[in-house]
Order: sequence, then C-alpha cells, then structure tokens
Amino acid sequence: MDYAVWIILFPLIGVIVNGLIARKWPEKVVGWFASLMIMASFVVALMLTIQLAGMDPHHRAMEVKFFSWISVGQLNLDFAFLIDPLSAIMMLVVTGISSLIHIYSIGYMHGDSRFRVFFTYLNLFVFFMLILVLGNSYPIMFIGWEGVGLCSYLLIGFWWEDMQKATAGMKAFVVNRIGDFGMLVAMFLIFKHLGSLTFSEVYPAAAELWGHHVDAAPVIAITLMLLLGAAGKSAQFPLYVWLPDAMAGPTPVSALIHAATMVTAGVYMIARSSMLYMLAPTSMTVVALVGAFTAIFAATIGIKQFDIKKVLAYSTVSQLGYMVMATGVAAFGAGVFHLMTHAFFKALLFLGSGAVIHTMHGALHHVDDHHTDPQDIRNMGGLRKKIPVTYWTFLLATLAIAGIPGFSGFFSKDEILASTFAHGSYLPYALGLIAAVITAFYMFRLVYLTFHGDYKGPEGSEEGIHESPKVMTVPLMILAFLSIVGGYVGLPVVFGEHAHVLKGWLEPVFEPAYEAVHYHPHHPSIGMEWMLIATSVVAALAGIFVARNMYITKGLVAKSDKEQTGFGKVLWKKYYVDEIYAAGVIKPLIDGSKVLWQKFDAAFIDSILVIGTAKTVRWIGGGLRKVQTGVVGNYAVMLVVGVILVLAALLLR
Amino acid sequence: MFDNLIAGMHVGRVLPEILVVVVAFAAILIDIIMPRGRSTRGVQVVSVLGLLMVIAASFFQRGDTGQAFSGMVMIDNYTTFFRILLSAITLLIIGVSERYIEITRIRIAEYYLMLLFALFGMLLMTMGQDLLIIFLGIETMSVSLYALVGMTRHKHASNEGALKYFLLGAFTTGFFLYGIALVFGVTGSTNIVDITVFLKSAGSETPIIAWAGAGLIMIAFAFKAALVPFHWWSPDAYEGAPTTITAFMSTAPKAAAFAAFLRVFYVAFGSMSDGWTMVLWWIAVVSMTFGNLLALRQDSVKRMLAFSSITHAGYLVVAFLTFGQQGASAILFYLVVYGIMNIGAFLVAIAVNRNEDDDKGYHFDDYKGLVYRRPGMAIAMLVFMLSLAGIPPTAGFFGKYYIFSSAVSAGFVGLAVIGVLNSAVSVYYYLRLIVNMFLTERDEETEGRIFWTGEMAQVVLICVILVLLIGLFPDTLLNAARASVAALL
Amino acid sequence: MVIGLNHYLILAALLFTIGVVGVLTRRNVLIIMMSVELMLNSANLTLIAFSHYLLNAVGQVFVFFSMTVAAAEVGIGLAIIVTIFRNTESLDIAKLNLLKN
Repeated sequence: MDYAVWIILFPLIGVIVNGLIARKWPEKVVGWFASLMIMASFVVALMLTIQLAGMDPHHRAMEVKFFSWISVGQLNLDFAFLIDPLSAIMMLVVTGISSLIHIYSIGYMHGDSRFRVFFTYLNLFVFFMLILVLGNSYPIMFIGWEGVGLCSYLLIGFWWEDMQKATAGMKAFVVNRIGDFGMLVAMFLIFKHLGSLTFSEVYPAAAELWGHHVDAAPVIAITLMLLLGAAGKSAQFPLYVWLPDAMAGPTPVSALIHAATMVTAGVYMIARSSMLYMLAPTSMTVVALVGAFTAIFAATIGIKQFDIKKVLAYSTVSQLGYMVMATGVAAFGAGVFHLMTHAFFKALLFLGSGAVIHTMHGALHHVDDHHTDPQDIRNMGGLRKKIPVTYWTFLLATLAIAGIPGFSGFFSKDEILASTFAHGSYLPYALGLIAAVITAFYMFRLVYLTFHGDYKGPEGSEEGIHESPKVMTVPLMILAFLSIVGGYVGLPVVFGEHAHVLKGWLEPVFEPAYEAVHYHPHHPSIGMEWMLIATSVVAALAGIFVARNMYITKGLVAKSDKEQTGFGKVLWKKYYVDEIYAAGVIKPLIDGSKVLWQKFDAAFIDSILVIGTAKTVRWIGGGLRKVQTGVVGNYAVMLVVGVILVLAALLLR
Repeated sequence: MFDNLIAGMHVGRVLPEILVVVVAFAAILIDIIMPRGRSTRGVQVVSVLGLLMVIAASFFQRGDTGQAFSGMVMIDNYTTFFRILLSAITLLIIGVSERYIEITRIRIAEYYLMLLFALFGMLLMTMGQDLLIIFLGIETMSVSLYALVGMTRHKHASNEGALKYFLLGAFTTGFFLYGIALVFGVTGSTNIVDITVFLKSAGSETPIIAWAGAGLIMIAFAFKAALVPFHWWSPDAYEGAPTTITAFMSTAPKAAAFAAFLRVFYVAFGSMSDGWTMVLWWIAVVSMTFGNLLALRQDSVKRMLAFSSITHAGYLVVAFLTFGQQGASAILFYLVVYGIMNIGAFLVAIAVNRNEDDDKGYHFDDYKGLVYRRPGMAIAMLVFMLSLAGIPPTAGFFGKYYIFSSAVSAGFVGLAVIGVLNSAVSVYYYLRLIVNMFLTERDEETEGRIFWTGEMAQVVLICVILVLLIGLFPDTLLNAARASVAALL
Repeated sequence: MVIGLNHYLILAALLFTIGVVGVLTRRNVLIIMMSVELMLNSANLTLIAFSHYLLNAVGQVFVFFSMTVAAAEVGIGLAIIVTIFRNTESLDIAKLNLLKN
C-alpha cells in the first residue's frame, strides 16, 4: 500500500519539473512530460483499485498513513489516505480524464507563450484534486478543496490580457469562499460534537450520538453548512453564478475542472458524508430541492444561450443539480454514477466545443475577421462535413447527455429519476423529468445549429475550417467510447439483480449510513421500472423532436440579440439574475453616494452576487473611512467614548 | 543578610534581559568610539550577535523556572516562549535594517538602541508578575516606539505619525496608571498573585472600584494591541513609520501586549471573567469588521496591512475571550504565525516600493505583473497573502482554524461565524494584490527599481519556509504553545 | 471636617477629569501634554492616598517609578514636537492631518 503515495507524487514531480526546471525545454517535451506524470498516476490508481477489488467486499477500505500530522490535545490527525470504493471511483475518474485532457491540451495550447505555466497549473490541480478525494479526514479534504480552488482561479484567469477573464477568476474565487465558510463552520461543529474529524471516527460517533434521534439540531446545522460548501464548489443555486463565467478560461480547463472533476467535489463530499445526511432528513429534503431546482433552472437558461461554451456551462450546472438531487433522496450511488458518466460525456462535449472554437478561430483569422465571435453558434452551421470526427464524437456525447437508451447518460440519469420517484419525492422527480426534456432540446439545438444547416460565418472563412490534429482527436474518440460503454457498469434492475455492478461496488460505503437509521433504499417494482424508463425515453425523444422540428424541418435560424422578446428574452438574459442582484443590492447604494461610487468603481470588479456584496461592503468601508479623520483631537474624543462604553459595560453589568 | 537577599533575587533567571541591556549599551559605546560613517555597521553586527545570544540564553534557560526579584517577575515556559518570539522578531528586523536606514536617510545608531530598548520593555511585559513591572515594560517599549516611528526626521508623515502615537499613548498611560491605582486601593497590592487571591475570595462581592480598575487596565492593553475603538493611532503611526518599524510594530509589541494582557486577565482578573468576556466579545466583533472594511478601501499596501493588522488583533481577541487553555494556546500559535507572515509581507512591500521618499508610495499598482519581473518575490508574496487570508496549506490557515475552533468549543458559535465571514471578506483585498502580481500585465509607468538586499532575501526565504512548514506540520509549534500556556493557567 | 481618604480620591478624580477634558478640548500640543501630566499626577495622588490609608508602602514606591516614566515621556514628546515644529512651524494638532482615512 505504501506505493499509494505515488499517486500524488507523480503530479507533484510534474509541477516541480515544469515549474522550476523545464524553462528551456521545447513545448512537446513539457506537454508530454506533464501528461506522462498524470498517466503514471492513473496507473497507480488502477493498481490500487485492483488491489481493493481483491479484498473482502465488507472490509473494502484501506487507510494509508504517511505521517502523523497534527497531534494536539484531543485533535489527532494523520496525513493519510482513505482508499475505499468511493474514493477509488473518484481517483480513477480524476486521473483518467486528466490524462486525456492533458494530451488534448498539447494540441490545443500549441504556440501559447505560457505553455509551460499552463501545464504546471494543470498538474498542480490534479495534485490537489487527488488530495481532496483521497484524504481520510475533513481537514485534508479541505486542503485539496482550497488547492483546487486556487488552481481553478489561476487557470480561469490564465489569459489575463483580457480583463474580463481575470474578473471571472476573481468571481469564482470569492464565491467559493462563501462555500468554504460553510465547510469551516461545519468542521468546527463536527469537532465540537463528535470530537474528531477523521471520517472513520466521525461517522460511527455520529451514528451513536444521533442514531436514535434523527434531525437533532447540531446535525442539521452541520449538514446545511456542508451543503453550503457543496453549493459553492458544485455550483448549485444560488451560488452557481461563478461557473458560467469561469468558462472564460482555456477550454481544456473548462472540460477538466469546470465539468468533469472539481465541480463534482461537492457531490463527492455529500456522498462521503452520507452518514451525517441520513441522520438529518430535513437537510436531505433541502438538498433534493436545491438540486432539482438547480437542474431545471439552469436547463431553461441553456435554451437561449448562443455561446457554445455557455450552453455547456449551464448544462453542467443543470447536470450537477441532478447529482445533488440524487444524494438528497438517499441515492448516493446514483449520484456518484451520474458523476462518473457525466465526467465522460461532458468532458467530451467541452473538448469537442474546444475543437470547434479552435478551428473557427483559425478560420476567422484566415479571413482577417476579428469581430465575429468564434464561440457564437449563430456564426456556425454545416460544420458536420468539415470536421467529421469532432461532429460524430460530439453527437455521441449529446445522445448520452440527452438520455438516449444505450448511452451512458441514459443509465445514470434514469437511475436518479427512478430513485427519486421511488423515494416518494414527486416534486423533484417532476422537475427532473421536465429538465430532461429541456436538456434533450437545447443539446440538439446546439448540435443542429453548429453542425447542420448552412454555414453562417463570414464569407470565405469556410475554407479555413479543418479537422484538429490527432493529439486532439484521439482523446475525443477515447472519451466517446467511454461515453457509450461507461453506463454499462450500472444496468437497471430490470436486467437482473446484480446487473448494477457499480451499486454492488459502492454498497459497503453507504451501507452503514442506511443501517444507522434503518433505511431501506426503495426499489420500484419491475413493472414500475419499465414505466419510468419509458417515461424518460419519451421525455428525451420529445425534446429532440421539438429541436429537430424547429431547427431542421422549419429551418429556424436563431434570433439575433435585438430580436429577443417575451419569455425567450428572460431566458436569454439568464432570468435577469445578475440584474436583480444589481438592482436589489447595488442600485440603492449607487443613488445614495454616486460620487463616492465613480471614484471607487475599481476596474476589475464587475459582477454581481459576490461583487455586489463586495461593493456593498466597500461602500460601508468608505463611510467608516470618514471616521479615521487624521486629526488627533478627534481620535482622543473617540477613544474617550470607547473608555466610557467599556466602563459602562463593566460597571452596569 | 544581604547574601540571602541577593540569592532570593535569582538574578540568573533574568539573564536574557540583562544581555539585552548589555548589548544596548555596547551598541552605544561602539557608536561613540567608531567613526561616524562606519559605526552603524559595528552596531548592526553587535546587535545581531547579541540577539542570537539572547535567544540562545532564553532557550537554554528554559528549565530554570520560578520567580525572581521577590515575586516581581515570573520566569516560566510562558515567559520563555515570548522571550524567544520577541527576540527573534527583533533579530529579523535588525537583520534587514542596515541598508534600509541608509536609503531612508535615518543613518543613526539610535535606531538600533531604540529597538533593543523596546525589546527590553517587551520582555519585562511578558515576565512581569507585578503591575509595576508590566507598567514599566509598557512604558519602556512605548517610549522607544514613539522615537522609532519618528526616526525619519525629515519626513512629515513620520513626524506626524510619531506625534499622534505619542499623544494618544501618553493619554492612555493616564488611564492605565489610574486603573492600577484603583486596583491597588481595593486589593492592597500590585502583585498579580496577591490580587488573584484577593479577588477570588471576594467572588461576586468584588467592589465596583475593582471593576473600574480592571476596565481601565483593559483599555491600556487594547490600545497597545490596536483594538477598535482604541486603535486610532495605529494606521497613521504604521504609515508614517519607517517600514521596517511598521513590520516590527505590527508584530512584536502586539505579541507583548497580548502576553501581558493574558497574564493579567487570565490570572489576576480571572474571577471576573464573565464581565470582561462580554466586553471583549464586542471589541472582537468591531475590531475584525472595522479593520476589514477599511482595509478594503486602501490603495496603499502599507496601509492595507496596517488595517488588516487590526482585523488580526480582532481574531486574537476571539480566542482570548474563550478564557481557556485551548484559546490561549491558539493565541500564542497565531502570534508566531502572524509575526512570520507579516514581516515577510512587509519586506516584500519594502522591496517593491517605488520610491522611499514618496509619501504616496506602496501603491497596489506597483505590483503589476511582478511575477514577470521577480518571480521569486511574487511567489513569496503569494505565500504570505494566502497565509494572511487563511488558505491552506499555509500556517495562517491553521492559526485561524485553531482560533475559531477554540471559540466554537467554548460555545461562542456566533462569534466564530462572524470571524469566519470576516476572514472570507479579507480574502478580497489580499487577492487584489495577487491579481496585480499574477494576472495583470507589466506596467512600465508604475515600475520602480526593486530594493533588494541579501539579508532581505534570506529573511523572506526563512519566512516563506516557516509559513509552509508550520502549515504542513503545525503540531510542533502548537504543542509548544500549549506547554507554555499550561504554565500560566 | 476631618480630611479622609475619600477627599483625596475625589480630588484626584476631579483632577483626572480636568486632565481628560483638557486633552479633548485643547489644540496646542504643549497644553495637551500638560493635561496628560495632570492625569498622571492625579493617578499618583490616588496611589499615595491609598498607600497612606492602607499602611502599605507599595503605592508610594510605585509613584517614584511613574514619575520617572512621566519624565521620560515628556522628554521624548518634546523631541517629537521640536522636529515637527521644524518641519511645519505649527503646534496646532488640527493642522496635522496628512495621514488619514
């Protein structure tokens, strides 16, 4: 087991070599070195998983201790990894997808002046992500949690020439701090009530303490605070605002960090804390509702976006909502299953979109057009014949996310919906089902507008559109393969009692949580299961049919910005969330102190929830500044006021 | 008879303090003997070597604990902890000063003397077991600091900062002395042990005069630790002072103030804790919030750090008012961590500052694209900023973690929530610097020459290593802090 | 009327208050310093009164030290005032507000 440490050492070596030593190395060497380190890490993950599989199913968990980390009073923490079926899935997904995206990036980032720095950050990200999923206690998880946040921030703002992108990075970082706040408070409370922070000690202690008395106030507080953390990282309503903006970073970053791995950390954390959540049914309901609402809310916004990456971004938020919803109805396994399949097809979608943007960019450059947006799908169309590999892989991923039977997304999404229904959570089920229709619709809208119909870009630029190099298309093909077969590890019950391999694999992890509250996961009857499957399929087909009818049969062309009207405009404007925050929080303040404002409207802050709050805070700070007058006489007066207050408080106790 | 008296004084136990005074006077002599131009070099060497000896003496003397001077001072693990911390901070500051006082045209050996005298005062504060000693310690430290703030005599800002600090400091001394007089009147003693015994037996019958006295003494400590609403002097004095002195003032005197504050309130006024924890609850809240809100609005890095130091003092009060071992050890831990990261941050600020004679220096814009000019320096500053913001795996994270978890354990959940929220807000202005260093282009217009010496590089490197090392392996330091606190409680 | 402890304490408290008010209302640095001295000496008076009535010499010993400290403070204060007067030719604290906000 001692070799387990290599899983994080390889990426770390990559960081050190690329960050410090490889200054003069050629691009190819740097890129392949970084990729090889991650692949080596993947091999280690595979070996660990195989070893794990060889163990007795009920004792499938290994703690690998590296050193005694903190030992102070009651707080005893080892720096150790917990390798169990759940973390095994996570580390395979993280290292596997990362390897492919590293390779893809060699092609995508070709020629960038900061190629080496990019790969250094990317390796650093993998390092922290592995610490996040492997840590055996909340503080270690939190180190990874903050580390990936930092890397994400550095990578979103990677092309800092563009101020807007730096702002997006900042927004991501600050929103995540709100989530971190929840994590920290949850950690304090866990330690206060359970006396430990190590997973293997916290959960039995929690079962002991609250097992006969579910919904105790402390456990509700802990789980809601953890939910706040998860909402920040996994972009749940209302903290989702940073994720769409985060797409400002290079596309491989969007694929890796903001779709496949980092954003699923919140789901992982909830699944990891399944014991605590099972002990707090009230929090579970909140989790399910937040997830379901996020799923449908983001999906509707996705309908009216024109930026190819924005569509995928909202779709990611929506799919994360599904995963969170699954954990909220105690279907932790289903949540993790969808996390995995989503990692495959969403990474593929992003990489595919990256290939499209890459070639569009080149094509526009070819005709010297610097005004047309290479990411706007209204400028595309008919790319199917020009870039067939990209098209076909993109289509496969779209079929997967839409939930067409046989593709991975179908199995996982269907399981979530079926579990939700069986759990008796009909409202989340209904929201989830509608979201499924919408998902199928906007994804096919994206495919039709991008790849079908006629090319709508500037005259002559069509000639410049070429298929991407092998180093980019091969990862696409591998991911396409995974997007299809990835679902077969979790066949529905209708195919037999043990058809769901993944469920059997994950069972030992969630079993104690179910047992603690004597919960028996509900299984729909076989007939009901078929009904639910049929409903899902009909939902997906309905979405596709509408999209086909609109964009192929009727040949509708997406409207330009000015023609947006009615509810469509509301969606296009993302429900005016940004504007609402602006009007509710900022406007009153602006009116109050216009002069103060203009002076301090710092250039690198533009946005809303966070930045709106930040501005509020700054504004109050401005008022307080007047107190610090600089005149020593005033200071003395205020000091005496302080003296009087302190004495009054003490004497009139 | 005299032999007995002298033996009862245990002079050997205050060897480090004696050494500090000896070094200070040796420095005076060298300054007189050596020719004017070269004397600072000699003074620097003597001070550095002397301080190394002080640290070594404190370390090797740690086993010989007990009272000295008939109970006027107490040498225990707690004293040793602060002796080493305070001497080390002074050493770091003196270590980087030689070239700095050249370019700021201070150029006089008194700079070193005042630092050494301030150190002597601080050591008295940490060991004093009698209000007299603590009073003398505070005054020795303060008088030296007034002079240090005004060291750059030709600069108006320096004069003004010194004057403000002096006037408000002397004003507060009045309250402090009056408070001591009241406590003396009630308890009949100025010795902490006697006061403790008296107040404990008085219990709920504690006379109102004693409460007033305790309140006035609390105000004096709050003033020295720069807590709202007694902080008014600090931003202006910090900005006006030579930056090495700002780095010093925001770390060592604050640590010494908390050392004495802890001893007086945890021991002498321990029986009155339900009263003062309530007052400190409010002081903690306003200090954290006020410091943060104003730090957000600064365009000068030096002033931002000054306001953020008020916030950090507020965090320390959060741990203070838990009135328990966990909280106290969190304070000691955080004082060390804060000292390291803050000195590091100030040194980088000195290096990047465009023009030392410019009153409007230390601008955020000076840092634009620093990573492309001086990557090492930018990464060091990144580490310090992350640590100040409390992001793992830096030392600052664990410092904050222990503070807030001690508050939650003691039942102050609301306060901990306010604290963590404040710490989330503070990320904003630390991040602003990171954005400027890493995510903006170089701007030739705002670039000045970098002032960087070998000594500064060494000290910054030490600080970076310590911040990361403590962040990864915090328990050595925390156990030392706990052992020190155990001596106190 | 017999002069007792309370009379001394009340006198000291009044002097202290006068000192505080002086600091708050005066703009000339020298007068402010004098007011501070008044505060310190009223505290000294309190210490001595207690010392006398408690038959405990500690208070009087304390006063020796505090007077020395006060002298040192005045010394450094005057030095600061001299340098500031050289630079600005004014002793009005209301005009010294370069550092603010």
